[in-house]
Amino acid sequence: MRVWIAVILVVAVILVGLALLRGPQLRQVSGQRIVSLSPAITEILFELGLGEQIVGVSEHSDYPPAARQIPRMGKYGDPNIELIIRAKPDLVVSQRISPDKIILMQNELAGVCKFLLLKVDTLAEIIESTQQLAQASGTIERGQELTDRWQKKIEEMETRYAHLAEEDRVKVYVEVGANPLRTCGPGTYLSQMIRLAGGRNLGDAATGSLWPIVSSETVVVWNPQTILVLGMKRTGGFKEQISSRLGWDNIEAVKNGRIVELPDAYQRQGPRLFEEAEKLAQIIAGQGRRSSKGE
Amino acid sequence: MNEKAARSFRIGALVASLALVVFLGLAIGPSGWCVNDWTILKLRLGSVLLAAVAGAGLSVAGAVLQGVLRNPLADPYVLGMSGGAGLGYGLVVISGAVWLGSWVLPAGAFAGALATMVLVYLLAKTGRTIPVTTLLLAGVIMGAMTGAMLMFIVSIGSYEQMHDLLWWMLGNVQVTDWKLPLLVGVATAVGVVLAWVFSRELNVMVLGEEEASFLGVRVELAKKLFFVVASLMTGAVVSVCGLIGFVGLIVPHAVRLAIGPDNRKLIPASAVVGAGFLILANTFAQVIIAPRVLPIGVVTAFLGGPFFIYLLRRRRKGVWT
Repeated sequence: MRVWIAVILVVAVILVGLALLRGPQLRQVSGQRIVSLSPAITEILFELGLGEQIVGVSEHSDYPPAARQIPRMGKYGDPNIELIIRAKPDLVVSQRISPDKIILMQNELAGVCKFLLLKVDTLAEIIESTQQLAQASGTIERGQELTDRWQKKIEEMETRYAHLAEEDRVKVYVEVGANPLRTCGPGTYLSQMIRLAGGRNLGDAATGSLWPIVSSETVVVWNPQTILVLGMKRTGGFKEQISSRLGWDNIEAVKNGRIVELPDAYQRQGPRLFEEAEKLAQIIAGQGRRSSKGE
Repeated sequence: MNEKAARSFRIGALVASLALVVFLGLAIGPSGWCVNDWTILKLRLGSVLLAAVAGAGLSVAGAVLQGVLRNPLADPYVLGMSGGAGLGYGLVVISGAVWLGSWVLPAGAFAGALATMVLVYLLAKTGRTIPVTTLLLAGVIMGAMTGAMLMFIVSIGSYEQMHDLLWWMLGNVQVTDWKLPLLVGVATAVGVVLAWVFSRELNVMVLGEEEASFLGVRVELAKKLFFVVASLMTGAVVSVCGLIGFVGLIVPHAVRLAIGPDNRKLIPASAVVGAGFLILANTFAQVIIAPRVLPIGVVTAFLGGPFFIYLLRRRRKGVWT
C-alpha cells in the first residue's frame, strides 16, 4: 500500500516537472515583437494600433482590457530580464526607472533587440514619447495623427483659461496618499492638467519633489477650494475620512463638500489624460462655477 | 539643605525647559510663527501632545528595559516590537484594508506588537521563570523574523505602498483625530507611573537577580511586570507614531550621564526629557523643508547623535561628578 503511494507521488512529480519544463508559451505575432514595461506605455502602444504586436507587458497593465491577456514581465520598475529575453522581443520599451535597472537592461539587451527609454512625466513628454514610439515601430502616420490631436487640445485649453489671474483660479489640493499626506508637486502632469483646467495646484509650492509629503497644517493653511483624491481602490467613506480630520472642517472645500475622486485614468501617464483634461475643468470648478467667468 | 535646594533647582529647570519647548512647538510650524490663530494652534497642539507622549513612553520603556535586561544597548525595540508592529502595519497596507477607516492601520500595528510580545514571552519562558538572556535572544529572533516578513511584504507591494511603509518606519506624529492619541496618552501615562512606582525594585534588579531576591524583591514577578509595561507602552506608541528611532536608546543614557543611575529619578526625568526632545524634533521635521515634511526619525538621529557624543566626551574628561 505504502509502495503504491510512493509510486504515485513520484509519477506526479515527474508529470508536474514535465509540464513546467515545457516553459511559457511563446506568443505568436506577425511583424515586430514589442515588450512594454509600464502600464502607460502599454496604453500608448494600443493607441498606436500596436496592441497585436505586444508580446509582454508589466504587471498592472490592465487598460485597455485586451492588455490583460498579454504575458507579464515583472512589476513596473522591476522588470524580469529573463522573461523578457524568452519572449524574443524586437523592441523593448521602458519608462524611466531607477538608473541601475536601466543600465542592467541596456547591457542585457545589447545585441538582442532595440531598447527604447521614454520619459512621460508631463503632457509634452507623453506627446514626444508617442512620436518616438511611432518612429521606432513604423507607425509614424498614426502617431502624427494622435499627437496633433492632443497638441491641439492642449493649445485650446491653454487659451481658454490663459486670461485667468492667479487669484481667480480655483485652489486645488490633490491627495495622492493619505498615510502620510502626499500631494503632487510642480512638474507633474497633474499639476499641469490642473493649470490647463483653470485651477491652481497648491502642491506647486512644495518644490524639490514630484510627489511631496506635506503636513496637515500646511493643507489647512492652503485652504483649498477643491480636493481631488487620487488612489486605487478607495472603497467609499473617503469623503468622511477627509472631512473628519482634525482642523480640516475649516477648509473651504470640506465646507462646500467639494471632495472629488479622480478616475483611474489619472494614475496613468498615458493617452487617456488628454480626454480627462477636458472634463477636469468642470470637476474642479463645480457645476459651471467660474468656468464662464470673464467670457 | 543645600542638597535639597540644588535638587529643586534641577527639577525647576527641567520643567521650565519643557514648558519652553512646548511653547516653541506651538508657536512655530510649517506655516511660520503663529500664536493667535486657534485653528492652527489646535492642530499643533495635537502634534505636540502626541510627540510628548511618544517621547516619554519610548524613553521610559528604554530605561526600564536597559535596567531589567542589564544591557546598555537595550531600547524599546530590542524585544522585537518594531518588527511585529511593522508586520501588522504592512499587512494592512498590502491588503488594501486601509480605507475601512483611519483606525485600521494603528490597530494592525498594535495587534502585531501584541502578538510579538506574547510570542517572545512564550519563547523565553523556561519552567516558571524567564531568564534575561533567553528573553533577549527570543526578542532579537522574533524581531529578525518579523522584520524579514515585513521586507517580503515591502518587496511584493507596489511602489507607493513601499514608500508609505518606509515613511512609517521612520516615524511621525501627525494627528488627524483626537481619539487615538488620547488612547495612547492614557496607556503611556499608566506605564510611566507604574515604572516610577516600581523604580526601587528596578534599582535593586540592576544589581543582579540574586542580589535582588536577597533584598526581598520577587524577581520573576517584577521582571514580568516590567516586560509587560515596557512592551505595552512601546506597542501603543508605535501603533500611532511608527518606529521613531533613537529616543528610547539615547534619552535614558543621556539622563543617566547627567543625574546618575538611580531609577527613582531616572524614570521621571527620562519621561520629561524624552517628551521635550520629541517635541523639538517634530518642530524641526515640520519646518526645515516646509511645506514638505521630514520623517521625525531622521531628525532624532541628526539631533540626538551629536548631542550624545558630546555627553560621552564630556564625561570622559571627568567634568561630570
